[in-house]
Amino acid sequence: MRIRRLTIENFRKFRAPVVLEGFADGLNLVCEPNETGKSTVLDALRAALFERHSAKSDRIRSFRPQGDEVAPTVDLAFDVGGGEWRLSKRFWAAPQVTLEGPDGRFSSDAAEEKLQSLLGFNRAGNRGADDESRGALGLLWVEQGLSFQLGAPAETARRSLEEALAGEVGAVTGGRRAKAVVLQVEKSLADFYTATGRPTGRLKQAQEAADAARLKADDARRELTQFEGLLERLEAKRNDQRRLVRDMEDPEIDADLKRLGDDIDRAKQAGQALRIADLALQKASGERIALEARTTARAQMRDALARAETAARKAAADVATHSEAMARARGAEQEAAAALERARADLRAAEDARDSARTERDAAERRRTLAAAFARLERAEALAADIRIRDARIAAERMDEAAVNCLRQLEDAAGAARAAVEAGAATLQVALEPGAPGILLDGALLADGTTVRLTRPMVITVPGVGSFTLTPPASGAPAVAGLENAQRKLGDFLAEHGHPTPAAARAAARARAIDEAELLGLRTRLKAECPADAALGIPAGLDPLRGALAGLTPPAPEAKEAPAGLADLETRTRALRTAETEAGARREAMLEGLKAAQQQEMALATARERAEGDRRRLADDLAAETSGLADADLASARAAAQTAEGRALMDRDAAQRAAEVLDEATLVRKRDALKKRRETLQGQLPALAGEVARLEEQAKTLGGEGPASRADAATEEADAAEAAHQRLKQEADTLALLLKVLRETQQEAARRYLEPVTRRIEPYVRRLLPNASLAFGETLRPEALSRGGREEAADLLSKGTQEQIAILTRIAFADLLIAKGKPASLVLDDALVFADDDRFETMMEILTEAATRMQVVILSCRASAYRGVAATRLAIREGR
Amino acid sequence: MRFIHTSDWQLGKPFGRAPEEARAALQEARLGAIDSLARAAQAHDAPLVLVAGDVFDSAEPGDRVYRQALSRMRQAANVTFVLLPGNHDPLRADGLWTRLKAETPPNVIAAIAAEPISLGENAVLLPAPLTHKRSLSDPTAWFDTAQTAPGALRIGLAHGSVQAFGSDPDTNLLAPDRARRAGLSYLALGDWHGRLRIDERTHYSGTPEPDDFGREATGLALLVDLAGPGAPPQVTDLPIGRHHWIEADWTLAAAADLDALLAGLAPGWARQDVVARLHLAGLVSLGDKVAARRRLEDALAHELRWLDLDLAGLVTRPTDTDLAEIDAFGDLRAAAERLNAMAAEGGAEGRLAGAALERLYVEHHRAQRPGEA
Repeated sequence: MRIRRLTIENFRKFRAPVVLEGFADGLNLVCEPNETGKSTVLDALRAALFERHSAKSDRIRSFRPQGDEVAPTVDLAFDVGGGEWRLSKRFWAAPQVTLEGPDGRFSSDAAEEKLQSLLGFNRAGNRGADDESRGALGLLWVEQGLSFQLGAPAETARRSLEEALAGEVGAVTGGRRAKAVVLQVEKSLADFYTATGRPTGRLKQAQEAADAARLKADDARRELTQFEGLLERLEAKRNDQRRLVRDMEDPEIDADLKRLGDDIDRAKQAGQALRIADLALQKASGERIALEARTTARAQMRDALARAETAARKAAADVATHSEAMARARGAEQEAAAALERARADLRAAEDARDSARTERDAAERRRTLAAAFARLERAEALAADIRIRDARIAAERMDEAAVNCLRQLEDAAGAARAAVEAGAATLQVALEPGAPGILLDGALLADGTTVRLTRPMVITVPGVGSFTLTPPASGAPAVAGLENAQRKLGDFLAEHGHPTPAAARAAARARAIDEAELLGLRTRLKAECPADAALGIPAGLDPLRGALAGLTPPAPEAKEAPAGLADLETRTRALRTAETEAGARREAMLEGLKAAQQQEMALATARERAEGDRRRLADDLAAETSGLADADLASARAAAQTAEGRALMDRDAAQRAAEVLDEATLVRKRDALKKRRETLQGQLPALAGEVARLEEQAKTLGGEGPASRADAATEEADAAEAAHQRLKQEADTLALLLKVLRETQQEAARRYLEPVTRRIEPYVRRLLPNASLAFGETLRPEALSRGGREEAADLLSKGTQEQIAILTRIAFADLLIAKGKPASLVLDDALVFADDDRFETMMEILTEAATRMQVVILSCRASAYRGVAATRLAIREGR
Repeated sequence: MRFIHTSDWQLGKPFGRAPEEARAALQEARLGAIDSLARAAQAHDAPLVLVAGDVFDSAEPGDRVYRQALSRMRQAANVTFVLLPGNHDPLRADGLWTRLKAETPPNVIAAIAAEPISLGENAVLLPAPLTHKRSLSDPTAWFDTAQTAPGALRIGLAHGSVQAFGSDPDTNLLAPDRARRAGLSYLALGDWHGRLRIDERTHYSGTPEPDDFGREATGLALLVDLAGPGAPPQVTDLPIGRHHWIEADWTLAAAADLDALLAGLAPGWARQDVVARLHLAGLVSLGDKVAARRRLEDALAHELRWLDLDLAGLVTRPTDTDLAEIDAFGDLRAAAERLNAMAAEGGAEGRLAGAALERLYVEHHRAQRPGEA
């Protein structure tokens, strides 16, 4: 397809008619600045072809220029299939369409239909044309901003491509039928399996039915088993019942009971005889044992008496022995007490001597300290007096350091003033001849060689001659006044400080400074003379010292030294104290010994009393025992008792043998067991009869339900249900296999079928991206780029690469369509905006080549980028 | 005297493997045999029907079954029925027979004791009821020593094998010459579902209503005429059964072979009374397999009482025409080729692939003619 001429009027920004003409077969370039209306050109082109003229959709409404109720109109001249066509379409107000070409002139819907069949697209829907309806051309005419989209072509476009592909690969026929078969198989399989392979629908029902039938069969089998068990129990109970009745009526049991009764009576008699014999034996044994015990007791009493006599004797001896030890202990204790008294007296004497020596030493010490304190006070008082004098002198003299400075300044000022006066004054040089009369200057005799400066009027009196008044000139008056002023100030200062001359003032200042320096030393010494005295309890300072010593008399000079023997006295006292302690301890020990001896004496006396008491009591007891029965009589009585016991023992053994033959307890147990058994049997009978009746009834009820038939039927039905389930499963598996094979086959076909697209795009991709290749999905969408052995998902590539691949893909699609004689042309609105210079150049080469096979229209605002591109350049121009 | 010898009614047989719709009819037909027997007895003036065991299919078929049976027998009041417990419904204390015995109408005798039963003035029935599914001793042994009036007809009634029919070793085994040893005029036997003559006086009647495939001659009862103790019995076969059971192996080379086979299926029988199990074998084209399946499954199966069809042996070998019919090329053809190759490898997978190919063929036809299916 080739666009030849396009006129647009009342369409969006083009109110006045514009024309775009001179389209060449190859590469056409519309390079205009932004806002010129390039995209509107593409919109108008698409509207003219793909939108129905009579449509009133929002999109059609949007074609009108802002605010104008006019009819957007597009005229298009194009070639397709070797014929030239002219299309004129007006929208909205009085819509109309005409199409003129080799096949004639068409208008209205006929024109739209002709257009659709010519260019291979579909009638637009109610909301306007879309990717679906636009078909292959829509895919190849790319709007601004969409050029880099790597989407799958819409169904219609894909179908056109697929048809083209099918022609190429020549293998895909019956696609529609294959689809129908796959759909049908999927639908059938959906009756059996879910998408995830779980049974559903009929298969699930069959499986559940089979499971349910199997459960039912198991139940029926179980019921049958239970029923058969029931019959067996019934038979067993019947047998029990028969045995029971037979046992209950057994005559042997009656005979046994009677025989047991007789035996029990005999056993009772024998038992009685045995008990009597037992009693007799017990009595005889008791007598013998008593006599034997008495004999033994008598011997023991004799032994005890002998032991008591021995003990009494020994106790008396012990008492006698102990009294001597007692006397010795007492003597020793008295000696120790006397020694202690002596030691104490010695100690007391030594301590008294030591104490008086100590007192004497302390008094001497205090006297010495006091004398020192008084000496310190005397020195301190002298220092304090000196300080008071100097303080007074300093206070009286005002010539301090500041005053000295002031004086110096005043003197300097006076000196300076004098110098000024003298510098300006006339000088009177006196040279007298020897013997010259005394000449007076201002009344004073003028000596030879004197030089007088005339700073004031002076009168020279030469006796006899008269007087000469010398008056300094008036010019010297200010200096003289200054001098006088300075001298007056100095005079005032001296008068104020009470000194006649500056020299006297300076001497006074020096004296004051000396006093101040002395005063520091004096105060330090005073402090040193008044330290704190711990011995006398006096704090530091002069006043505390005065206070402490006031009222005390200075001690007389030391009469004698402290006594020299104090140390000896201390030593002696310590030795005597040790001796006294030792004597005390010794005496305590003696006292303890004495106490112990006294206690032992008491214990021995008590023991002797007790032993004697025992002996007497035992002797009395023995006498009492033997007085009633002599030893010989006791012996003969014992012999008689032993004989009697032997006889009783023989009698008892005979009775026991008689009783053992007939054990009453055993016989009674046997008889009771027999009676009990009969009672039990009688008690069981009703329950057993009831059980039999109950089981009979159950057998009847259960049997009436036909458990065996039911079990057989249920088992057969379960088998049948399982077989049915297996058949369905087989069918499901068959379908699953069929679907799997169909899908695999389709995938293989798709791969084969995409080969032409892959083949066409390969050289372009290689030029752009060396050693890369592009793979397409079944939907004809570029899916993956392989380069250097790695595969990258297409939509993860850079935007620039994506756009380039999208354009290459479109070139390949267009080639494919053209090869099949279908209309195709490429329109790119502002494409390649993301391409770098190299890629741009390569893409332009590819596009230029493509333009030899198809018409390519590029709309761009980037004039400079396309400057070197050989293309037919078109301009949007006003006019028709 | 004249009587009818029958056996193996197997009332209450569940036919659980048959489809639901056939089940009830097959069950009902077994009860219907009682009416047919009663009518035959009346028609041939033989007012005694001896049932030689296995009256019921199981030891506990349920009250409904035996009451239905008794009710039908009660209606034929002039015919006496003697029922014998067999190995399927052996005698057990408190079991089926105990309950049945309490409800028998006057014309029904439950022969549940091994003791002679008088049949009128001059005939005695010696029954051998079974008390277990399998008994090792011959229950007819006592016939030899049974005392009967001199000159009376001694008729034996027993259930079991006179020879080892199957693999079951020597159970319920009856002495083959019992009739001679016990001086019986006739020994009526049950257990064998087909009609079988052991000797002149010893016969199996077979079941009056066929109940399974593979029996030789079934659906009969025997009319027995005894002229006297020494005279040989006159035994006549009476057709009683309603259903005809056939099991057949059909080998096909093409779907058209079915024409003759179907035409020859159970001639003389109404199709709705035919129960058939057909095993098909052969190597056919896909088209023929599908066509054959349609004729059998969609047509014949609906005509018969029950068609148990086994197509496992009918192997398809898709012809070029078959494959071309699916498609000359393209996806479907490729899929068909693959499935065909898989099928050729055999085994379970191969069978599945064969089935899938057949399904593809069917689905393809369906897709071509959407009206069908």
